Amino acid sequence: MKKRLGFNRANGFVVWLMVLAMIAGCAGGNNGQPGGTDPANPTSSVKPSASEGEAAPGEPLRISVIATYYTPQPPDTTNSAWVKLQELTNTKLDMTWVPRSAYDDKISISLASNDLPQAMLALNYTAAPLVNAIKTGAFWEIGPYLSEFPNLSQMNELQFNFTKVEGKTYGLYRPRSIARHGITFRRDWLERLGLQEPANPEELYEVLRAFTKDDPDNNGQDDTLGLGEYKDIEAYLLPHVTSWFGAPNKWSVENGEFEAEFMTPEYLEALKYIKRLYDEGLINRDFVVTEELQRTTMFSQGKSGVLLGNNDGAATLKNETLKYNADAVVDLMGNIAGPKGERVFAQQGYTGVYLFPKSSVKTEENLKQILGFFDRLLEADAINVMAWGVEGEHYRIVDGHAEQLIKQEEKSLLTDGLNELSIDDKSQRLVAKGADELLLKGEKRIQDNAAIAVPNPALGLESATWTQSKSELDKIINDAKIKFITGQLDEAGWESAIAAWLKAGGQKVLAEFADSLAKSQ
Amino acid sequence: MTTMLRRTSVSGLIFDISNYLFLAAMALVTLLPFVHIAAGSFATSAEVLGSKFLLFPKTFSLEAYRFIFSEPTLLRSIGATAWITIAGTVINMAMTALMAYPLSRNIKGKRPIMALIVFTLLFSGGMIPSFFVVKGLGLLNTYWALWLPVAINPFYLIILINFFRQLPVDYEESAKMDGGSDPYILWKIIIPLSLPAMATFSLFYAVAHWNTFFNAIIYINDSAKWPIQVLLRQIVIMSSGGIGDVSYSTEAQYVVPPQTIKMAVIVVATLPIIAVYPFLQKYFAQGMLLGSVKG
Repeated sequence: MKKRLGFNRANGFVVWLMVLAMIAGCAGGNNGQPGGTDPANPTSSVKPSASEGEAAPGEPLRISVIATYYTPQPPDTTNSAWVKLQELTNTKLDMTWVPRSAYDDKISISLASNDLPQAMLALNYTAAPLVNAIKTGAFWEIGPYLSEFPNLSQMNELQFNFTKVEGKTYGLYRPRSIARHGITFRRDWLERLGLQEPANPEELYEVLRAFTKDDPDNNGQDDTLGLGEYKDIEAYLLPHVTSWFGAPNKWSVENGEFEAEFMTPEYLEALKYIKRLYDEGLINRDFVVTEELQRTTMFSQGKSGVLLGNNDGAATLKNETLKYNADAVVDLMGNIAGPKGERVFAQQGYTGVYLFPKSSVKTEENLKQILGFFDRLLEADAINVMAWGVEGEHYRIVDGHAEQLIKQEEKSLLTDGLNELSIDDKSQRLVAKGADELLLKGEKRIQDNAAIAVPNPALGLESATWTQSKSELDKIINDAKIKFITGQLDEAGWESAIAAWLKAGGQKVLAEFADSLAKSQ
Repeated sequence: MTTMLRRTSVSGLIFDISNYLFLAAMALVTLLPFVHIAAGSFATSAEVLGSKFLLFPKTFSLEAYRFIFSEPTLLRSIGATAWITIAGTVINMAMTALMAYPLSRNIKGKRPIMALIVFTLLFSGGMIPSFFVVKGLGLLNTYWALWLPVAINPFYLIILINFFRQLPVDYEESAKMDGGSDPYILWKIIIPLSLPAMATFSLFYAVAHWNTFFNAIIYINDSAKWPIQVLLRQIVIMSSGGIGDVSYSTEAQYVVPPQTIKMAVIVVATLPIIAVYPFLQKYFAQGMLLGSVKG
C-alpha cells in the first residue's frame, strides 16, 4: 500500500509538471512576434513573402493581398489571365479571398491581431476600428510617394480627397463612376399610349399614372404598375426623387454650417411626391417587403414600366425583359429636371481603398516596389488583361474593339477576381465590339452626367458621433420616412422625427462635420 | 389500465381536442417554412419569384440542384463539413468522457480542477486573445483550430460528470476485483451504460460542428477547406440585398443567384444533420440499468 501511495503522489506531480510545461511553452511562443513574420514559425495565417523587402532585380516580387468577392465561390487565380498578369508585372501574387459576408469581421480581427498582408482592401472605410488603426500609424502614408509614379500621380485628385484621413492619403482608391443614376423604362408602352418622354416630375407623374391605369400592354387587364420599388428606398428611390426636387446629397453646407438632407423643405416635397404615388397606387403598395430581385423581375416580366436604377444596368435589364417579351422596347429616360434644373447625385466615387500595413511592408523600399506594381497595373496592357483576359485566347482585337471569344459566364469567372485587384477607372479599357447600344448609351450618360453631379460634402470629413451612432440615427429617420410615405405619419410627425434625430445625436454630428470642414481648409 | 383511453366527460374530450389542435398548429408553424424552402428548391425560379408562399411547385424542376452540383465547390464544402463534424465529434466525445470519468470519482486535486472548469463556464478569453492562442500554437489554416479550442464544452462536461457519478460503484468494484484497469472499466462498462447521455452530447457537438462558420472564416484562409455554412451565408446574404453599404451597390455587377439556388443550398446544408436524428433515437432508450444491481 505504501508503495502505491508514493506512486500516486509522484504520478500527480508529474502530471502537473507537464501541464505547467505546456503552458510555459505556449507563452514563450507567443512572446516572440505578434506579427507572425518569424521565419522559423511558418504558421502565420497570411503568408508574407519570404523575400519581402528584398526582391532581387529580375526576380518576381512577392505580394500578399487580401480582397473580397461577391459570388458564392472564390475567384479562380490559376487561370491564364492571372498568369499573364503576373508575367507582365513580374510579380507573384498571393491572394487571400474572404467572402463579402465575412469581410468586415475578418478585417477587424486581422487589424486587432496585426496579422495583415502587404496590400489590404479596406471596404468599410469609415468604420471606427479602421480609422483608429490609420490614425495610430498602422499604415504607410503614401501621399508623398505618389509623385514618383507616372500613373498613380495621374489619378483623380478629387477622389483622393474623398479618401483622406486627417488630410493625409493612405491608400489607393478603386475608382467607380460618379454619376450612375439613370431611369430605365418601357418605351413601347410610352409610344402605345401616345405620350412624350417626361422632362420634369409632374410629367413623370402623368406617365406613371398612364402606365398604371391605361393598360399600356394592351391586354385588356389591369395588371400593370407605373413604378416598382423595393424595401431599400435609400439606394435608388430617394436619391433619384430628392435630386429632382433640389434636395442636397445627404448633407448641405452653407456658411460652414451643416444640415442633413431630410431637414430641407425640398426633401419634404420629394417625400410628398412619393406619398402621392403611393396613395394613388402608382407604386407597389408592398414595397416595404419587396426584395431588389423581385423589383427587377417585375420590370422584366412587364408588370412595371419604370425602374429607378443605374445607367449601366439598363442593358442587362433590357436583355432580361426581351426574354419574356421579344417586342418590348427598353430605353433610358432623359434626365428629369425639377425646380433647380437637372441634378444627379454623385456616388462615393470609389469602392474600397488599398492600404499598406507597416507590419507587413517593413521597408520603404518594399513599399515603393508594391506601389510600382499598382502603377504598372494602370498601363494599358495590364488593364486589358484584367478586363478581357488573354488576347487570342479570350478575346481578339477587331478594328480597335475587343471581341469576346468566350461565353459571358466564363468571362465573369475569369475576370471577377481581377476586377477586385484593379484600380483603373475603365477609361482605357478596350470597348467591346458590337457592344449593346443601350450599354454604350448608358456609359455615355454616366460620363455626361458627371458634369451635373451633386457631391456629398461630408465625404472626406469626420465625425466621431456619426461613426458611432450612424445606425441608430439612421433608424430613427428612415422609419419616419417610410411611415410618412405610407400615411402613418403626418407632417407634424415628420417634424418631430427630425427633432428626435437631432436630439439623439444629430446635432452633434452636424457640429462635428462643420468642425472637420473648418479644419481641412 | 383500460381507463386511459376512455374519456366519457365532455370537458375531457374538449380538452383533448384543443390540445391536439394546438400542438398541430405549433408543429405546422415550425414545419411550414421548411416545406416552403424545400418546395422552392424544386421549382423553377420564375415560379418562386412570382408566388408569395409556395408549398407545392406546379412544375417540378431540378435545375437548381443541377446548377449547384455542377461546380465542385458545393461538394467540396459538404465534404469538409462532414469531415469537421465526424472527426470533431469523435474528438469531443473522447475528451469529454476521458475527463468526466476521473472527475466523477474522488481523486486528488478534484476541487481545483472543478473550480477551473466552472471558471471557463463563466468567462472566456474573447475573440482576439483566442486568435492569438490558436496562432501561437501553430494551428492556423488547419482543421485542428476548429477542433481543439472547442474540444470540451464545460456545461456538457459537468452534466456528464454527474451522470457518471450516479452509476453505482458496485460495477467498478466487481470489475476491479476481476482485474480490470481504469481505461477498461471506462470503455467496457461506464460508456455502454451511459449511452443516452453520450448520444445526446454527440448530437449537440455534431450540430455545433455542422454549423461552424465564424471560426472557419477567422482561422482558415484556404478557401478549399471552408465548410458549407460559409458558402450558404455568402449566397443568402448576397442575394437578399447584400450588406447595404456602398460597396455592394457598386459591385453587384454579377448576376444575383436566383431564389431557387438559395433554397437548394439551404436544403443541402441542413438535410444531412437533420437526418442524423432518427438514427440516434434508439440510444435514448430508458431503463437499461433496471435489474442489474441486486440489493
